[in-house]
Amino acid sequence: MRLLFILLFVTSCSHIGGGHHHGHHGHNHGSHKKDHANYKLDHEKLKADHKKAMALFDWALKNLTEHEKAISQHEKEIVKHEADHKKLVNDGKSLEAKKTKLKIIRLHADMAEGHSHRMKDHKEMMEIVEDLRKFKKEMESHEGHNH
Amino acid sequence: MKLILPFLIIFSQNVFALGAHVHGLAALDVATDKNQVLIMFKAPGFSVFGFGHAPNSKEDKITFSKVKKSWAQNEGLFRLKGSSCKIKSSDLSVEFTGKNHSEVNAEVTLNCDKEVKGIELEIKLIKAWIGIKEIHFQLLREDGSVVSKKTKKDFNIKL
Repeated sequence: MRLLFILLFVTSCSHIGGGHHHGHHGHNHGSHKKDHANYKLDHEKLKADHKKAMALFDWALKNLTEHEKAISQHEKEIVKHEADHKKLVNDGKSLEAKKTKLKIIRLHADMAEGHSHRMKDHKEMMEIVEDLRKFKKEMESHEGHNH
Repeated sequence: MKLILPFLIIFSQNVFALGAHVHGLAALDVATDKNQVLIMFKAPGFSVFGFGHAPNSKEDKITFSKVKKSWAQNEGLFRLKGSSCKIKSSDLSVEFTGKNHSEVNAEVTLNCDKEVKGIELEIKLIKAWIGIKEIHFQLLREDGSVVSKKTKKDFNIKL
């Protein structure tokens, strides 16, 4: 849980930390130089972290889109499944109809297993999304105070 | 890392596949109609041949053709006790889906000398193909009832 928070914090609030440091060290020139050198080092780290964060968010967006496609594919499969079922009822009791019935039973079991697995994963993902939402709200309230 | 893991799981499963690819696992379906028995089999290549890749070595090729022959001729795989059955049609295909992944789909229809209802079917897939560790079995009987079981041993079942 902490990893993504740290990542986000670095991504969205780097300017806040810089302001605080500056205020604590008074007017000593040597101290300023040391601070500036540290800021530069920090900035390099921030830039590297930003890159990682952006790559991660790009990846998440791409995969969410793919997941949306998979859901619509699943919906098509459900329609086909229902059509097969209807056909089966009309086909009677031939060996071919029984073959179809066995395939439908397996398909249905796979669908049920896959669906339940995805709903479980979805629940976990939404918990993460909810944490992100809270974090965003908190950051927005900080921004309101600072500007 | 704990946080990122659910993301990886949910976003990577974008294919609603039919059947899980689990090495050692096999799906076996049987249906009957009067004197006919239809047997359908599905498993990862690893479960059947002991490897998932296309047969390259001489040894792989021998294993491959032995398995194909044993299915085509029903060599010690299935037997109906007290009934004489002949192969009406038989097919075994292998689809290579990755570097070390393949799926075997096979089907055989037996024509027997009498109605098969109530006759015991002997299944010896685990003994014959040592890569199979577990069978998920379904039988659709003449009356429409379905029997299903998961087993790690060869077994007999009344049709």
